[in-house]
Amino acid sequence: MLTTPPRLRKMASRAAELSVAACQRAVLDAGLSAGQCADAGCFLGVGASGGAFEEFEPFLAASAPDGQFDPEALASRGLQLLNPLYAFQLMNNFALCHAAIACGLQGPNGAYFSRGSGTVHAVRAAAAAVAEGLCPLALAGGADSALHPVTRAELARDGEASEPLGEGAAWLVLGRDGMAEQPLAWLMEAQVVVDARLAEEAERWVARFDPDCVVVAAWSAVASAALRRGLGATLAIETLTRWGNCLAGLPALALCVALDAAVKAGLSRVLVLSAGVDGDLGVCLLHRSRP
Amino acid sequence: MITAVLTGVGTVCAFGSGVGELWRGLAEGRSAVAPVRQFSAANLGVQVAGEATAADIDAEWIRTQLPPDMAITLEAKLQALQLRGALRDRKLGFAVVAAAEAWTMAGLGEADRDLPLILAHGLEHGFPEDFAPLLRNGRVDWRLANTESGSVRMRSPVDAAGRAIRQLFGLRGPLVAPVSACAAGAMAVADAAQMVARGEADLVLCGATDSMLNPLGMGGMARLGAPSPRAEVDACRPFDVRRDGLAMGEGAAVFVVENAERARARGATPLAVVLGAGTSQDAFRATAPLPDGSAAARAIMVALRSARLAPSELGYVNAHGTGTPLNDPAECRALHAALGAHAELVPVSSIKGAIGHLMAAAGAVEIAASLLAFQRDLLPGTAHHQQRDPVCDVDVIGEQPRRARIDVLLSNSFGFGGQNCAVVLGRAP
Repeated sequence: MLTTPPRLRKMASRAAELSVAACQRAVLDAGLSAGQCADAGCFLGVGASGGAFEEFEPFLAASAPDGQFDPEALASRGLQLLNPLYAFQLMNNFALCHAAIACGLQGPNGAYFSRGSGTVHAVRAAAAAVAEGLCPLALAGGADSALHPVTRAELARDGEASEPLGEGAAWLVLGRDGMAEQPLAWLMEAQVVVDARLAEEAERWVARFDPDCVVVAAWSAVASAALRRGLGATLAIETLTRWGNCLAGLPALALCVALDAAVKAGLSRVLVLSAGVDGDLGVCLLHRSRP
Repeated sequence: MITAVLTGVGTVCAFGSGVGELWRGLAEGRSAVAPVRQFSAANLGVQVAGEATAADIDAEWIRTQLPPDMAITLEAKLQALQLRGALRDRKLGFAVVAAAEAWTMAGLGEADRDLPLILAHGLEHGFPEDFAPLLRNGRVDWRLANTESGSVRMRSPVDAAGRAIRQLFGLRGPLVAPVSACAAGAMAVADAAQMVARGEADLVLCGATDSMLNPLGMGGMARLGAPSPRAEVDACRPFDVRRDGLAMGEGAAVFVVENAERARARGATPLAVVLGAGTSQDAFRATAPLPDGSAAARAIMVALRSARLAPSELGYVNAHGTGTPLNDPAECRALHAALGAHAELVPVSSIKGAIGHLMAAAGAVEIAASLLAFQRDLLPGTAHHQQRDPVCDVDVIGEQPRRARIDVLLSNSFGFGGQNCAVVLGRAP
């Protein structure tokens, strides 16, 4: 259960609340000090705006008094019903900013809208920032909620994502090689393949990396089935049916599953394949031990 | 080491379509902030803005802004976008026009369509008028919402403009959509330059687009208290002792960022060199910038370090300069912290008084504006700045541009939520 301070709740979407909670857990789990956080980068894949609809609905009703939208009514009545900080619930980047504020992350950063691949881009940007010495460590991940009523309606209308819908956030801490005494895993690859033929690409990446396991994180059952067709006999973990579709959060949650598979199940190489609705394929590879 | 250069630029803003209009407006020391024309803003709490010159952004308007051959090629696709309702989001049209100008200026063609597109976007455009028919007894009946697939209803997709450019221009590379609020446009340019410097791409189309000039967008910003409450054309007065808030604006800027060797080999004329960039996070409050400017200073110092430059080598600073009571002093403190004694010497200006605050597109349009320094040896002025606030202790350029030949400039962008980005540009050799 999330315990969000009331003031944060006025300014934070559901995705931002989840992001803050996950970021705090990641910082705690990695044992980061305040000083380390101050130098840390943060890069996040984020979804669409998610302001609390129970606050928005009275605004809408007051702005359409006779069943028709009236800009004058919006100005004179509707806006007065919105909490002044509601705009911050809508700003896409606040899923990152609230987490940065909560954890004191002051390093290089970037928020990327994600249809799946944006989250992988965030992980890639974080890895590059660390590799290029812009920061000694960086947090990267994704946060989103598909349970927002507008998002649900859009997804249903456009048939872009499979049920069950879900919500979630995950942040991972990336550091320079040699920084931690016992790293959980090494991130060997993080890239996006554009307009991918999913089954063929899955087959190609499996042939290239020979993973012990593949974590499949697709937005739709169709895409998931296509990816699994390309995996052959390779062990696969499906995420869509386990947590529901967490949109921008899903690839990052899948990376957590991959870490778990590497650490707890002792698998050497775990591949994460994430497919959004834009046809792009995210590819991340974790190694359990130093390559 | 690979150097990234700008070989194309396109803009749309309150001065009009085309970077030439932007440079002309700034060179003449004009301001384009005026009463909003699209709709009645009488009771919104914000009545003036830097509104793009066209009231209606439709397929016909976009077509008239494009080079003739491109207008013919894209006509059917633009009509299709209009039929889907996608052009109700004004920023989509701005992005297409700016991208076409940059693409044409850089001389790109069929062989370049694999390039990556990094387009920063502002907040989705929400359409309250689409919700009204769904209301039953004050509640939305979602069973009524499941209408035509593919049509744009309730709100535009976040990355609608990027997807449209990709479709219209037949691009096959990846689309990256930074959404880092008011720092997003500068971050898009920084990301593109880094992508070229790393050797991941030789050519990147990048930039930003935004418009919040609609009743919900303007009303929401007014509720936040960010815009000046005065319904005057000098609503935004950066660094002025009388400043009381920002003026909203809209528009887009798109660049072609290219490997310098590649540009040289094909005979392209660079507009500038991207020498460095830096980002940081205030991690302070959602509602205010870090007062001492230390996080913003960090972004500036990282940018200078990545450019391998000393502060004294900076010839001009294009400030974020929103004209809000808190931002301007914080930015001046950041400049002092990052530049030391040179902060009192380097000329500083903000163009937000002239065209408004373009939100996600601000950083990109301001980088385009800064190119005036290299193109015409003119440093843009600060519209409506008349009496410098003593706490803004930097050399603020007044309302008229200042003639100077400089070789290196800095452009600052600071976003809601505390995201900061600084970009250093150099005169092309």
